[in-house]
Amino acid sequence: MIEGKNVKFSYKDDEEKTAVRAVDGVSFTVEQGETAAVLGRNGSGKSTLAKLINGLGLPEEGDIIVLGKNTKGDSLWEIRRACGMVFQNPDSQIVASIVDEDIAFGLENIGTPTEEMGGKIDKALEIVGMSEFKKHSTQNLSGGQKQKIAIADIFAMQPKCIILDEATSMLDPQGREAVISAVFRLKEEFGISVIMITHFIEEAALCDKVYVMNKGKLAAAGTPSEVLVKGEILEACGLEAPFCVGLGERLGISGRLWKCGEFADEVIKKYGCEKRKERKQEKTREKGSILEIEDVYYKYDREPVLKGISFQVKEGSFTSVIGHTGSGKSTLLRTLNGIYKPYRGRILFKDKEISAYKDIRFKIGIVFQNPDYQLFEETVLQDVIFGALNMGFSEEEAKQRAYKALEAVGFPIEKAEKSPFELSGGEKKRVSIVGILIMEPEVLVLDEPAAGLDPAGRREILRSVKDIQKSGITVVMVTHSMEDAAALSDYIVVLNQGQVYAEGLPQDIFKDEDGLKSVGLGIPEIYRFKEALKERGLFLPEDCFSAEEAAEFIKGEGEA
Amino acid sequence: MYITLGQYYPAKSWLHGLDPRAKTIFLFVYIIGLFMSNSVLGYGVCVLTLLLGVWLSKVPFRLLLKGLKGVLFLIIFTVILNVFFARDGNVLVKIGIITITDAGLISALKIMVRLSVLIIMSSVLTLTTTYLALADAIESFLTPLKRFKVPAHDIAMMITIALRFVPTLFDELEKIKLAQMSRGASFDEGNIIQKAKSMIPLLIPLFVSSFRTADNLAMAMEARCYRGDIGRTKYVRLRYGKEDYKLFSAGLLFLAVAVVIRLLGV
Repeated sequence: MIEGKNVKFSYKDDEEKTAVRAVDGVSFTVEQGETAAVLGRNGSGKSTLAKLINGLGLPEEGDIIVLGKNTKGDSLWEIRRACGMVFQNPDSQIVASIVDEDIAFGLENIGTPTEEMGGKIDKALEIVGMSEFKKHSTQNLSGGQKQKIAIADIFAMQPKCIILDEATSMLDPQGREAVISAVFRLKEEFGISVIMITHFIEEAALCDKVYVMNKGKLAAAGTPSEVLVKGEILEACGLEAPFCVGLGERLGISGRLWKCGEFADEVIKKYGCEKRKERKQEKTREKGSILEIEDVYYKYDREPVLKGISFQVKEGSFTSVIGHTGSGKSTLLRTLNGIYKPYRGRILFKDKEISAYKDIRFKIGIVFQNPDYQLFEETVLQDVIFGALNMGFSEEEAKQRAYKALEAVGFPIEKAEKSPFELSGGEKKRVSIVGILIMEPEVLVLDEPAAGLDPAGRREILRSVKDIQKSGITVVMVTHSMEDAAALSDYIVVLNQGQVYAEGLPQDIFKDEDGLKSVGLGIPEIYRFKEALKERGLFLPEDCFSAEEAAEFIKGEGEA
Repeated sequence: MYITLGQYYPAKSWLHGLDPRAKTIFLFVYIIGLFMSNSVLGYGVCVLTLLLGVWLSKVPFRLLLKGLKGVLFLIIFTVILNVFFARDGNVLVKIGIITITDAGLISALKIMVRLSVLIIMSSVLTLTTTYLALADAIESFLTPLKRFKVPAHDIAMMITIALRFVPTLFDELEKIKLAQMSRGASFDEGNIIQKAKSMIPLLIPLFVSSFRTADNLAMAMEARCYRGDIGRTKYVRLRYGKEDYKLFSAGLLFLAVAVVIRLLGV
């Protein structure tokens, strides 16, 4: 139904001289009713490929044939109608301010008679489960709801295929699941093909076919059970292998897309379950609290968002605050350095209320989620010293601090004179962290540091954050990723509806899988695997949270 | 800052259900009547009509007053200008070059009422009419001009999209402000030049983000088969109904009363 033959495409700069080859000889086919995933890290060319299918750009060489029509021909509007596209950012694809009018926009464009529109809109809303929102303002919907509207927009136009261009990358796990299940409903009930551009392995595993792209070329193609077991290739492409595959390769058990239980059986078969030498537990010295949140309440207009939150952050610790969208975690973060003032309760920094410090914003530094909302200078260096200049440092001193901080997060120094707007997503994120680190805060608070990054970028940024903590700065990370929280933190606070749902050590928090599910969170895959091993008689240490550690332990190589 | 002008308040009211063109025409007629009014009775009629309109719109009056706060500065500024620069009438106070006359006070009061009433009534229109409906109305008013190569559809689409993104921009501005505040920026210190300079860290990210949004939106619209008004149909076909004629009659009645009051000079 959709076929690409040796497709090549380059982006040209303004003078049309230097061309960057984004797609370099890719061939693919997607049949009617089939689901295909295109995996790849940022910049691998996967989104460009999606746009070419939709005719938002024409291949330089090769052809793309949609329903027998070449995108280079004059059937562009038919092709666009047959292949609807859902984009990454929910906010920049909704045209109208009311839900039903937004769905009508596409129908109006293709000349649907007025009398038929009402029925089509109702049907589309019903399919994505948003009927009750027909007359709602699009502005106040959550990210996941907006993406479901975008899917309804496409569905109403009766497409043959729907292309999701990283449509779930800005959503929390709940939103992601809702969007994916809406799309699969279209596939099952109406035989609509689905092409998912993504860097989430779990999403690719749901598809019939997987294409892996790297630097514009196809690195692998086939069914999920053929492609997703090639852990080495995936990692070389900047992706992450499924947990069991990654661990399997380290243990010499490979070749299949394992389910957790099966994999645990294999591990026991190969390595037995006699007792391993206990790893030496690193005893962390008990330190005092650097931040104390005491019964904090906050409201927007009349709506309470924080309803009596209390917890403590130990000096030098890595504390994660987890919760789904709307749990109040972002609001809480804004109260930590006094930008938002709670109407009840108080926040203590080193036993004194934060309002008692004149320079609290320099002591408790907050890095917000979207680096684009803070970069404004001509060069990276100029941008990161902004905070230091505000503290009253001279430009010379500020620059010295800047180089030190850039190095601390592993930012390539040669790019310090570049414009911050030319950087990749991961680099921008780093610059935004340095912009706060330069003030040498005692507590660093981060809002979703890895959001929107691909697996490789994610790993790098999280490693930097961990390094920052090891250098002695207390870190508080707000996130909805259980994996990240598990891998990095020594203390976890779970928020739900403006209250603390649970708090404790990671291993204690993850014991309550059902409870976490009820507040829209999951547990990390490794924890599920540990439970499966435990049932079979092999006990992994409680503080083991990575495939590397698990492999070492199972092989009995951990130090005595 | 909170601005109600240009926002939509979802509700089911008589006014919400009317043809956007009828509402726009009524607003136009109302403004003529308002500017014709000169006496206490005239203003009384205007205010009464306004209150009736607000009641029929089911928009909470609190919301409208809150919206007025956003333009309070503008109103105060005009009032002060009027008080200080009026020269006719009896002098009440004279301090140095400042002279306040009774006529000046009265005209200032009139201006204040006029401006507030004007803003509230316009807000009632936008609060009860979705952007798309409003754009449809504009497009329909401009359609006769198509003959003179006026791109009626494009103008209407531009207005719709601009209005749609007003709240999004405010949202982004708030986030940018928080991010820069966390880097120690302050926006209300120093003299005018320093204040203007402190806006740079806010405005540049806002512009960059707007350009990116515009790019993405254009692509998303194209992907949804948008190509101007070629072969385009309408979700809501504008057609005047019985209720719309009621509004027209009300508008005519209002205008007639305003004219009579003005001519009689009561």
